[in-house]
Amino acid sequence: MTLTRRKFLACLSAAGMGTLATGWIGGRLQAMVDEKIFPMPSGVGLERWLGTSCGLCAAGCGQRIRFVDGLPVGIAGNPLDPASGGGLCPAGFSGLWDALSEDRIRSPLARRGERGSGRWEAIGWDRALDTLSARLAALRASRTPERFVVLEGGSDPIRSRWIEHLLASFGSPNHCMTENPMGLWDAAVGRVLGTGGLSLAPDLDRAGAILSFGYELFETDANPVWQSAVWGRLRDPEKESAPPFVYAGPRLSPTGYKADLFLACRPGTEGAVALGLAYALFQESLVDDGNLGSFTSEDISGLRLWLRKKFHPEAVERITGVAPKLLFRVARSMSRNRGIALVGSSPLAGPNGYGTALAVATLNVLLGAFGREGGWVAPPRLPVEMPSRPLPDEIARAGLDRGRLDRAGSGGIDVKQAPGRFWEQLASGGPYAVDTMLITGTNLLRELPDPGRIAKVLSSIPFVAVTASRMNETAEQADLILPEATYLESWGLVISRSALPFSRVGLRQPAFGPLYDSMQFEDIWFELARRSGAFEPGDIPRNMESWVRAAAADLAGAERGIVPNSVGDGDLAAYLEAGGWKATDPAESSGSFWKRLRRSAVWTAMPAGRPSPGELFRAGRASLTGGDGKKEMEKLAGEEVAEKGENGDEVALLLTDATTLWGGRTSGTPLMLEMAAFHQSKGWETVCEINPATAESLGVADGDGGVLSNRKGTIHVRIVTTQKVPPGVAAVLRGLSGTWPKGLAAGRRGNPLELFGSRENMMTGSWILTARARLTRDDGTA
Amino acid sequence: MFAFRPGVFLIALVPAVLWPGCSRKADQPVAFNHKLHIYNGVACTVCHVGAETGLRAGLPGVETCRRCHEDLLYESDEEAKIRLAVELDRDLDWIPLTRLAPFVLFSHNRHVTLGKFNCVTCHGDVASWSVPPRVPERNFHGRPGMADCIGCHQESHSRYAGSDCLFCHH
Amino acid sequence: MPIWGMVIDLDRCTGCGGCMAACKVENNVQVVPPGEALKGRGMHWLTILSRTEGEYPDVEAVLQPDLCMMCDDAPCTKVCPVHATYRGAYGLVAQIYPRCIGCRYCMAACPYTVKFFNWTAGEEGVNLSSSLNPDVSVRPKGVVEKCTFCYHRLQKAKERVRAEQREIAGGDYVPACVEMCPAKAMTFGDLDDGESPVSRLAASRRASQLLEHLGTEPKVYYLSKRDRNV
Repeated sequence: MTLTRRKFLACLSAAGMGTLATGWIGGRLQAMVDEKIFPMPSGVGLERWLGTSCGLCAAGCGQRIRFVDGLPVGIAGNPLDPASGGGLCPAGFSGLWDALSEDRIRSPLARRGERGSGRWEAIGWDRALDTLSARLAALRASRTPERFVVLEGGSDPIRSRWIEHLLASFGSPNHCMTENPMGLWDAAVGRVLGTGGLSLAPDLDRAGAILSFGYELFETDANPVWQSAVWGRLRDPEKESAPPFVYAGPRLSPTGYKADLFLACRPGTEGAVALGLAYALFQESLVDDGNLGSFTSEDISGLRLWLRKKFHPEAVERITGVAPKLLFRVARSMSRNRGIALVGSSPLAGPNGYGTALAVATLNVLLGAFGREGGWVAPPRLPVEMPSRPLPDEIARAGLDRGRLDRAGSGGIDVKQAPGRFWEQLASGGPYAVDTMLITGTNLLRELPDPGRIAKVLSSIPFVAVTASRMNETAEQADLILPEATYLESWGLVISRSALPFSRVGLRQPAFGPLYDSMQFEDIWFELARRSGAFEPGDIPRNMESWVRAAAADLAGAERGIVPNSVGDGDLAAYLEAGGWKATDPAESSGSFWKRLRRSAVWTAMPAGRPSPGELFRAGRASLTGGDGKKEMEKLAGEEVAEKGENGDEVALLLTDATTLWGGRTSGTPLMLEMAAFHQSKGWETVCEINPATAESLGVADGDGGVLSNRKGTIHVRIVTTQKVPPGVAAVLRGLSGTWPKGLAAGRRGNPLELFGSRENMMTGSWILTARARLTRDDGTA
Repeated sequence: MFAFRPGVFLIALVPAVLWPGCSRKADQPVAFNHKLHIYNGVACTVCHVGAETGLRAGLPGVETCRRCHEDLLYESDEEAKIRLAVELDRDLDWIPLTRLAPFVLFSHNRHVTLGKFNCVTCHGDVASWSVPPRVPERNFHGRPGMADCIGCHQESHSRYAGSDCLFCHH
Repeated sequence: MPIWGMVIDLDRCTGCGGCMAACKVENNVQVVPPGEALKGRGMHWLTILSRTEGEYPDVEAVLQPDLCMMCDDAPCTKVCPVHATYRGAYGLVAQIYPRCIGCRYCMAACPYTVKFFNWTAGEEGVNLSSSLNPDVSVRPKGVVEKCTFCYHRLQKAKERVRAEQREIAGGDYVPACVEMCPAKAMTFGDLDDGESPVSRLAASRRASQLLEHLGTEPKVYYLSKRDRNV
């Protein structure tokens, strides 16, 4: 039976269920029988498409939703979107599965009984919002607004901005993210360039060569669909030469498959490889002087001497296992082709992520990649403005003055989030106790390391509210669950993050009204703010739709940019060369702009001009060797990297991500679970890749069920033997867990994060994701 | 979920395409008078909006009825049902009589507009009925099935109406 | 009448898997429950095959989308006892579900193993999405199914071009996988038209077919700069 109009309408209104169930006109029984045997679609087969933007990750690719006779029946990419070019990642196709899932939460739920007992009472929105806002009002009354924390998964930059915006006026500095690995990269770039935390975009379309340090272009780093589209253009057979691509990392990832050269290094040593390359550039006089003008000559010679002492090829080979010959070969190729170096979230989550980021930033300086065409460029400013923030009153100022719970940035490193330290602080009591936590856009207990500890910390918080569209492990531990609409039922704007070297704003518009009495997060948030009593009515938009319409007017008024209405040749390089597009017709009213925007669902612009390389740096503050930078990078040579296990039967764990699961964010649909590890032709299970030599020494074989265990926990995996991982390492897919959709593989436990301790990098407050575990064959006893 | 058994089809040789209405009689929610509507100049496509351009001809929603019947036209129980449905904002549960198997593509647009077929060719003289048909008013010979399609498709000299299975099955 | 064919440029393909998901939702291919999938009964009309050569760290790997090759001389069609699978119009290898008796001879005959037996009936919300594509029928348990080059799109395209009073041509439709490919690695069109992009690519020096020596004459070509004999 397919989705019938009747059932669909019933989902739209909870009340509809009852009335529609009672037939009142004859022939219903017969109709039901007919429907079972030959479902007769109602309507004449009228097709309609609606443009919107995906909401499953921050890239927000353009999508088109297909309707036949008013029912949503399919998802496709939006070819008008200059970033995705009509492509989508696998997860992008799971939106309708997700939205129409039978597991959707049907109304706000209040906990009855113990936490985690699974007993809930359905309450109305009024009661749910009043419960939460009463707590907020009480926090304001007791002049401790900082005790309200919003914890966010961070897949929508506009949502983040709204949270931060209203939270600051409320008086809490605690807008916290569950993870923020790229924050380390931004901080490192800011340190080297002397500007403080800075988001630059890789101009991949014009890159002369690409060097990836575990940057998974075609998996989950930044914007895989755009990056795939760029790759297609770079490997266009019509082109005379293809930019060389080098992939450095311990495992030959699917991104690495495409590499012209695989620079295999020991886990966690990517930074040392980068510094080895930096040495080779100096040694062979290949340093590009494009970026050097911003540094003092003492700084440069200091770096050179330091590299000669600490990261000469023999030292680098000892640390990383990369032969000097290879290093020089890569250095020459990168220099000759004017390459760009990228570092991915996986190395950044290693034991010395910040040092790694600094090393790669240093390498980019020596390649002259900052500010260069085909290098790291400043993304253009978007013309979408947030309304001015209401000034914090006295209570709010006092709350903000108490500082963030996670003390992000206090280590002298310009990071805005310290997701690892956040939990440390909660566990140890911190400077003040959290009273109320609102969790949104994340399923902590699936996506974060050491879920057992996180559950324990959560249980110590007096009140936890979770917004979720479907029940998940974290929601089960909450006091209050607010049913959240999926992106297909929501309004929004997707602003391009730093991943794109051009401006793009995607419109998100609802394909259908909120199902099952749900609300989109922003509307819940605005309503909470209204009821908390901390705001004037004018401070808060009526709802997200009204704000999106207002922000669209900003776009209409921008000097440059267009709403594309026909598919171009997709060659962004050509657009770039044209130096931008024509401005919106000034005669056009904002009304017709809005209509056009709704039709194509995307707005885009090219920057009129870019700052010259020199302008990216802050003179006098840019530094290669200053401050703690050298000390951090020196750790890359240290013993901390090696992490040798005590026992011979232990393997080092390496977490891998796939665009099917996105670290757990999209692992809720059967569609994605089935093709979870499609690169290994596996699904449903957590795949554990090991080298055949490892398998032999451990007495396990390809296809075996396996058990990974250490003192933190035990999980079940499916063993795949492959030459893509080095001996002694197990690459484990992240994103699956014990909670599955109804009727599918219930009871399996495969979340590798259960094996990871909650270590934080003391300087940056980020997670450190390293662990070791014993791997044995699953004989059914574990 | 309808599951046909391949074995059965092997024996039957000709799988049913049009669901035979013989075994049941449908009572429509309203005793619709086709004859009277046609007499009053209401064309088929007013209610069956897709008959010329759609995949399916479609059955009218109560909104279509309302356009004429909102104000009293006749003193009749049947019309009262329509006004009640409008008032309660409920649709009329028309029972489709001619049912196509889900694995067959049949496009009204292609047959009626492009192929210049009359409704009568397949649906019979429904226009002369004053009560709603309870079984499909068909003028196929014998049991309706793929044979009825293929009959035309093989005879037809139009090169658009091939008899390759792929032309209709999906 | 066009002869549809496909060229997949493995140098451009990033193995992102989008085509695989697009195919599943476009064609209402059911999600086979995990227990059954472990028995090798999973169904992906289009899969991504992975091939690895060498030993770590001197290892190379290729990802390759794998689908029905639409062979011109298809071994599967020769063994079908009920004419459920045959070389149909436009050179497409047809699979007519109501005719299929589920004997699976064709699966055994297919050298590319791209035909799938439907072991489990789809069930909405578990195996099947609640939002099925109405253009493609849901296959019942007990039949063999496979990639159709999104033939249902051609059925619709034919209607469209006839309304426009012209003949169907190479560019009139593309399958869902080709449509969504972000890297534009897949090219689809008329192999009979020597000027079409797909013909020109299929004739390029980088082109090869899978198991060419069997003489099945696949209409899916792969492009790769790597030596085809490796």
